[in-house]
Amino acid sequence: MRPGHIKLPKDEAAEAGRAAAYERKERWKELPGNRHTPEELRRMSGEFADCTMRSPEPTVMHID
Amino acid sequence: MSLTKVYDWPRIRADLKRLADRFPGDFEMWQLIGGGACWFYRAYLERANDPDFRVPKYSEAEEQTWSSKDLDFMGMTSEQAAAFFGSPFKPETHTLTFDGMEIDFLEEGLRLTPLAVSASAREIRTSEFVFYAIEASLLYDERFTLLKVKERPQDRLHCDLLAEFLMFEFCHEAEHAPELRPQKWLSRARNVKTTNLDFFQTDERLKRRLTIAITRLTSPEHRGLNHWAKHHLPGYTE
Repeated sequence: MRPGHIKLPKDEAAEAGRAAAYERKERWKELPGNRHTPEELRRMSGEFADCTMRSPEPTVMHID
Repeated sequence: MSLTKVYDWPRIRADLKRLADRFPGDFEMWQLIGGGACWFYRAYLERANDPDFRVPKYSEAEEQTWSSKDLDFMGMTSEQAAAFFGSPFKPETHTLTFDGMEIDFLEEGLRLTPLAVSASAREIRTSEFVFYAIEASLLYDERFTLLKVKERPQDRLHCDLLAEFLMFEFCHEAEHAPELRPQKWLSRARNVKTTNLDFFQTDERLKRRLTIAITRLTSPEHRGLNHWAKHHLPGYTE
């Protein structure tokens, strides 16, 4: 994300280029590998299922 | 084909021990979730013998609803679990059978993600083995959310029991200042209130016990709880 103190130029040239830039970005997204399908995201999420990360100080309980 | 509901706490504990003995090193990477974890919190609350927060007296029908058909874990994908145990998942029950145990591995829930569950898991120590169980507030969140989309009797029983356990734990921890870990307490309180906005608003036992306990907390390290109570505990004044 762009930091708040870096402002987008608001001049006419920038405004005129906005539509072309959007179109360029969308074309880039359509290239293979640049946009994940819901199925790919689900699969990638599933692959994290075996990444067990423990808190260094877990809550400890005792039972018998 | 539906499975017979046979899992109560003694049976769950026995099978957890069998898995711990059989798969040292791997078993510690899994987290008990679902009905099995609810049974753990029920058993813990029962043993705590708190004067206010207790396991309700259940009818026979409710006890039958409490019984689980399997042991649910997170920590592996279904495919990995099937390969690990050398047993396929049965599509009709979504469990695998291993050495007489019915086991399920969940990849995600409505509110559960692998990272959230493993990073916040509680370490449960018995005299014979250690296992990991899902954090109570996270399981409460899952059950509470499930009830918003589907009314299943076991979810209602589990959700109510987890609320009772969490109320007990909030009070018990606040009443035992030397063992109190303020940041964990506050984080859990925030999570529970995010799940259920009314959690700290309605139960008179909870409000009374917490008001007394937090009023007695006077050391600087507990200031966070005093501040929290001022904003979230009705009737609390410094």
